[in-house]
Amino acid sequence: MRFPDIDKMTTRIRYTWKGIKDSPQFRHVLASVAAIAAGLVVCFAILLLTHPSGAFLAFWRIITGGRTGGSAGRGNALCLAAPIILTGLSVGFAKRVGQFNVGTPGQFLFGAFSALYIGAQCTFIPVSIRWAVALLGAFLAGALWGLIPGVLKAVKKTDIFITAMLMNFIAVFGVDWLIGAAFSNPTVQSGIVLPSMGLNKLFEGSCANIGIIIAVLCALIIYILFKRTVFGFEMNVVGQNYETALNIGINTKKTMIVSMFISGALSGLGGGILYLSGTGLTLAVSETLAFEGLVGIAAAAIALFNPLGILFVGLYFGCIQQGSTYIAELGYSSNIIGIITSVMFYFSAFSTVIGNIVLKSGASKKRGVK
Amino acid sequence: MTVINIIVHQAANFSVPLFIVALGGMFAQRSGFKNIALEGMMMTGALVGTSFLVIFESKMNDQALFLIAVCVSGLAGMLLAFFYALASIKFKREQLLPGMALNMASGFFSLYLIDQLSKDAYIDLTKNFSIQSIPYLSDVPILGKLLFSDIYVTTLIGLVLLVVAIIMINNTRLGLRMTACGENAEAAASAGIDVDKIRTVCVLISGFLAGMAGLVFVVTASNSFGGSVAGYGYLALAVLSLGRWKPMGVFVSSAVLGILCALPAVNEKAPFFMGSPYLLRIIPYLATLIIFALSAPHIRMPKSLGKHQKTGK
Repeated sequence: MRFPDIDKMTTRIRYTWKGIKDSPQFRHVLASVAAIAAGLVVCFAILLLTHPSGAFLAFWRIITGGRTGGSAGRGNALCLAAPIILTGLSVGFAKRVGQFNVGTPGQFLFGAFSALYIGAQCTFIPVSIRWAVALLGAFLAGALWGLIPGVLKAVKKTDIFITAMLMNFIAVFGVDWLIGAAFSNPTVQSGIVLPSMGLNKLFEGSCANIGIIIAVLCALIIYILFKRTVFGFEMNVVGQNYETALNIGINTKKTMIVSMFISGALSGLGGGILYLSGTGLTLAVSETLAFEGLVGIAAAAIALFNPLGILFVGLYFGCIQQGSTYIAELGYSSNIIGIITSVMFYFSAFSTVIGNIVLKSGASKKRGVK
Repeated sequence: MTVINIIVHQAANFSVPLFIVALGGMFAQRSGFKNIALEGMMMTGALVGTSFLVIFESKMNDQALFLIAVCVSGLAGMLLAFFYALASIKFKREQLLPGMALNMASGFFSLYLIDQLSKDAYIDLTKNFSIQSIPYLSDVPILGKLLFSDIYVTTLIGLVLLVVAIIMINNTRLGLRMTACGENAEAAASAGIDVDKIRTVCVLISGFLAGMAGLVFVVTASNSFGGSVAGYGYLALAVLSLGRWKPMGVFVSSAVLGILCALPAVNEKAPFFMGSPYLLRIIPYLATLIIFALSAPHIRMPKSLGKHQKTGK
């Protein structure tokens, strides 16, 4: 009788590990994890510098997400994750055609306003279907805001970064004006709430609703669209090499415009979902860009613009955002979440470099042992 | 007369910060570095500079304090530029993503710090740093009131910077090398220019100017800092391409946009528009968008803008 060959098995394991290690997917995941870790370290440092005494507790509350609030906290984390996932998908979608859609805050804000307007003012629509009409309104409003930079890019070849940013500020001040014109008070609340689809039984006392289901479905649909459809392929060609796309007969202008339309629509949908989910959040007159829109850009960049990656990073951001609502009583501002996400975003830009360094140092150590 | 006075003063207040930040952007973009973190540099400069002014308010002469604060905020902008250069030049990453990350980071950091430090949602300046009158010059009949009273020292700084920039770009070694790096990085490298070094220097200059502009914006245009500089860093990018990356062009286009930006402030002092003030605030952004879209096909940008220098390895 022969024993199994240990040497052969270790060799096989070593080669499988090498295969995983050298695969691009592994590197991408490693890069994202490295960026997230760097962001958390900086967050802890900032907490320590502001109030050293409560830093450990505050950090624990942030990273455990909704745990402090029990089932309601967990449900609310899902509720906050939905808009971030959708704005992230919006950025990822535009990135597929090679455009960096920084217009998400404006699209998000305009979508939010349209949803609130339909929810509060269009009382002639029956309440049972008004949420769907409101979301459709948000979808179209966001799409309009994405369409304008898209058309300008396709027809006039303007820089989409600048036009989208200008559209953001037009949206900020435009919505400030519209709030004054359409509503009597400066803060707007919707009269309707999205259906919870049984999620409020799963997470008792929370406002988890259909929004997170829509977000997950969107992520899956976009993943399939990118992988399996002709349009996804055409988008990829246009993004990778514009000249080639022209030469092989792809209608590049149409691809660009449709992509920006859908990209804007996703952000607008996110805005509608957040403000209709009944968290007590109100749309107020403001002069800064929408938080969820900016965080969506960060989420997309950390996930390296992969739809499924954006889904997970968005869920994670929802969790830490819910966690940050519990640190106000410890004397910290919940704006720390913005700093964390943007620091992660910054490190994600060169985390592949860090990943390579880590992998290389591991390899050289092994060689040293031999 | 008073109406013209108000318009000229407010236009100067709003266009000088826009001009300084656009000039900062010009230094970076002429060297081929697409600096989109201007907004973030402005916010960092504004945060640091405003805090400096509030802390040292009663300890110094007003004008001296203001000048020192402008330098300090410039250094703060430079710090952000250093991080940008680290990611985009040292590690050869793409230039858009780290820039956007720095914009977000400085915005949220300002919000966090303001939340922690002050009761309101903004830092208020209690003092007015304008020079009320200059001996002799203010007494000149019409021009005295128009140009030499109630002005800020930064207007003068802006004009000096314009002259310095024109001379520097056309006549100095750094300026010419900068243009070479922006137009054709490979050719510049083969002529023995260290492209990365030139670009780093340019980004640092750009950060200094943008940081300065942040504080100038707070002092002359808004009088309080609430974690936002109203998108001037992004407007500057548009101003830059409307001005064709030339100091004089940038000066003219930022003056025009500055007048549009000043409309709400003019309306406060000499009302001419009865509707919502927010409609007036949309105008500069909308006008920039339209002009930008109409003139886009004619714009010729530096050829190597946003590209890394390819190495032979």
